[in-house]
Amino acid sequence: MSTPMIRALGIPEIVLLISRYLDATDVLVCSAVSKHFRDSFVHLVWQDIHLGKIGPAVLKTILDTKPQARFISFDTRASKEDKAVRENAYGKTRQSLSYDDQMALLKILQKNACWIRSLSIHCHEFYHQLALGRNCSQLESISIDHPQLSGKFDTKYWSNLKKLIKQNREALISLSFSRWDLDMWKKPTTGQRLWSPILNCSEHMNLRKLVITVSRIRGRHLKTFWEICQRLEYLVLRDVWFDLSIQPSEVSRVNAGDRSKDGNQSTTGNGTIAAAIPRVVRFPRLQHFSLCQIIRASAMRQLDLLISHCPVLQSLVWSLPWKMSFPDIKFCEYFDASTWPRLQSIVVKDHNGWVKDELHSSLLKSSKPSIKVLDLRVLSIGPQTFDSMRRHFQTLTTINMYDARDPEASEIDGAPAWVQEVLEHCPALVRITAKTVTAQHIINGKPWVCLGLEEFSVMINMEFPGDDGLPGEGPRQSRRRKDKFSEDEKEQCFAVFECLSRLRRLRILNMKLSYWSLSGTTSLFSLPLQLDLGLGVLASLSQIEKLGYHGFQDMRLVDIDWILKHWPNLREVDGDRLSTKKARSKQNSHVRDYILMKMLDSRGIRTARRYYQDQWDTQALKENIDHLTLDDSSSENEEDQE
Amino acid sequence: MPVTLVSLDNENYVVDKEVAERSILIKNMLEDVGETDSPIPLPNVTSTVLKKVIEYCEHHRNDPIQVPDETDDPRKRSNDIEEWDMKFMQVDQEMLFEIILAANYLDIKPLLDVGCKTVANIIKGKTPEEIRKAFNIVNDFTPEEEAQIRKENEWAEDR
Repeated sequence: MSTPMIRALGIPEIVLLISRYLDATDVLVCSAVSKHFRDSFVHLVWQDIHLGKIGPAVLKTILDTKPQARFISFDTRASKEDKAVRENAYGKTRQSLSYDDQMALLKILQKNACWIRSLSIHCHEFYHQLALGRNCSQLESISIDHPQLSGKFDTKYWSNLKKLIKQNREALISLSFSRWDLDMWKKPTTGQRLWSPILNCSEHMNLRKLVITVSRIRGRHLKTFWEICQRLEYLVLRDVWFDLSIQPSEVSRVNAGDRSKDGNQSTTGNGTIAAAIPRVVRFPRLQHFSLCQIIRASAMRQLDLLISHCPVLQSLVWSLPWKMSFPDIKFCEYFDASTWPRLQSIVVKDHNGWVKDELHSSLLKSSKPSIKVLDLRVLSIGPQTFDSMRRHFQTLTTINMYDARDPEASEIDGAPAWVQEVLEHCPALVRITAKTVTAQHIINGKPWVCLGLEEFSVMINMEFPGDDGLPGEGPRQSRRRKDKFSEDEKEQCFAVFECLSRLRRLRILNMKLSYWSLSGTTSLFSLPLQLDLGLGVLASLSQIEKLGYHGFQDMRLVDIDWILKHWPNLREVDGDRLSTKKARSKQNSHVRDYILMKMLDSRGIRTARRYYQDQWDTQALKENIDHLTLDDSSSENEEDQE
Repeated sequence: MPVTLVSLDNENYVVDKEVAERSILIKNMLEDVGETDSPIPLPNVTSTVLKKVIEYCEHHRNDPIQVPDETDDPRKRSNDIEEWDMKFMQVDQEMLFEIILAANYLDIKPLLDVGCKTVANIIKGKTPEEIRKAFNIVNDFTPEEEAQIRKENEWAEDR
């Protein structure tokens, strides 16, 4: 008679639900508990395999979205003790595996290949890497970064990839070839090797997602590309060279059924647009389109021949290269003609910033659906644009108004009044990025309605005077001072904390401004993160993962202790010094900051590196620090007498 | 209008329709049948478990209906269980899995989630031996199998 546990573990849906709360290590442990557990969990151990050692930053971004990703390297093996070292100084402890070890690992991978659903290659370490054989026939996703296109991987490696793609052609949904070392001067060569495998089996493919970086598509490959595009829902092109104008007749044949629809479409809008739309829609199913650095075609051609060909587009990311400006008038014309009736998310990056406020504004006014994501980087959001954004307040989930410019505020402040207005009026808001909002705006404004907010990336400016009424210590830092806060100032801090405390879903509280945006003298005063000023009410923000602050803080042990106790998910603290006060007289003023930082470090919370850190990390200061940890409260008094 | 639910061991439970409809299975059944006062048989659920499930549904009768997570955040958190639910889930492990099975069968998504979170919390950060202890599991691997698994896992755990 089976126990309830065994029955429950026999239901894949239940196992999957449980596993969603576990990380890769937990899943691995589960697979070693018993035969029943193994049967239930083993497929999850191998489902998402990443080959090759990668740096900590990339590792983190992958783990953020795929917590059960498993990283296996043919090249290095480091013991657990080495792990920490490796994370700090990646690359220093590299050791090569012996050939026998590599083959042993390959055997294990081949044995478990039947469970692999997603395979990513980050480093090309071993030419057998892709030799996963016949067992691997359920692959839904293949992702290859930074392919090595010369040297020892030449033949064997690519013929293995060819086999792998062929073997999995029916299951494959997502294919990603990205190359990170963008060398603008070299001619992209990725094309041939990566496209040949696809070429052979494109007819059987059900690909829905494609990412291509730095490659040239031409000849037969180009024909295949247009064929595949007919089925794609998600496409990213970055630094890709290809002839936009070619329309292989085969494509029209394949897509004969869709033609009737195109007829209707070209009748909308004015004559010039209708003429620009050819008879065949190139991306009939494309929902997400990301174009970046398509250098060989003008922005107008990109718009006419690519972007306007996506009738069901929902999300557009369009980054234009230098010297190419956003074809604003044309874009608005397409908009007016309802070219993209489902468009919800627009991210445009134009390095030239030539788009005028009026054009922006007309864009937002003409968009019929309500926009959910609005991120118009580098472009300016002026008063008119902001006014038309108000129409979308009900639906906005993500807004980046870092470059918004309210003529009534200084350039550094951005548009504090608008930030407060957005927070008051956008109930669906999940992420907001902006320069600053002032305490006065928050306190005198209406209560925030965006209670589902997860990311708050805005500097809160308390506008308190600094020492001696002087401005801050240069453009890069916020003001600070030694004097105690007045009762009135304390009250303001409490009020701001109170406001933040309602954002219970907050994961990122980043009140740090990017330095590059600051020029001239600042008049910024960061929200002081201290318990006696109200930090304690943020106990409700138990989901916080990242905390950022601008400039210096004057935190004490109790404040850090409180944070560690109340924010169990905290992984990163970003900002300048945590404390600028001396721990005891005659001591270096960095000591307290160093200790507080080490407290965070010891809990696995990342902090920004200090310039003095390398020197201090040596054992020399150990004694000094231990001593100080004990008598923080008494040293507080010493400071006052200073 | 009250609804009568009948457990595997033929116990009858009369509950408000609103409470019974926390179960999507029952909700759909009631919609199909229309207005009826005939009892609903639940042949997969024993009375002890059904009592527990009803207790949950009574407490959560006014909760808004959960909409499927659109964003589908991969980083699911298991440390956000409500206090009442946490207490509710303090049962022996046999009952815990019975509740999960019943929630799965009756299609009560929030209860299933809470159950799975509870199981995940027990598993997290433990060694295989500790998990065996926690769930009363016998290690049924032969020494050879165990050695083989260890060898495979050694590669998988190296990051």
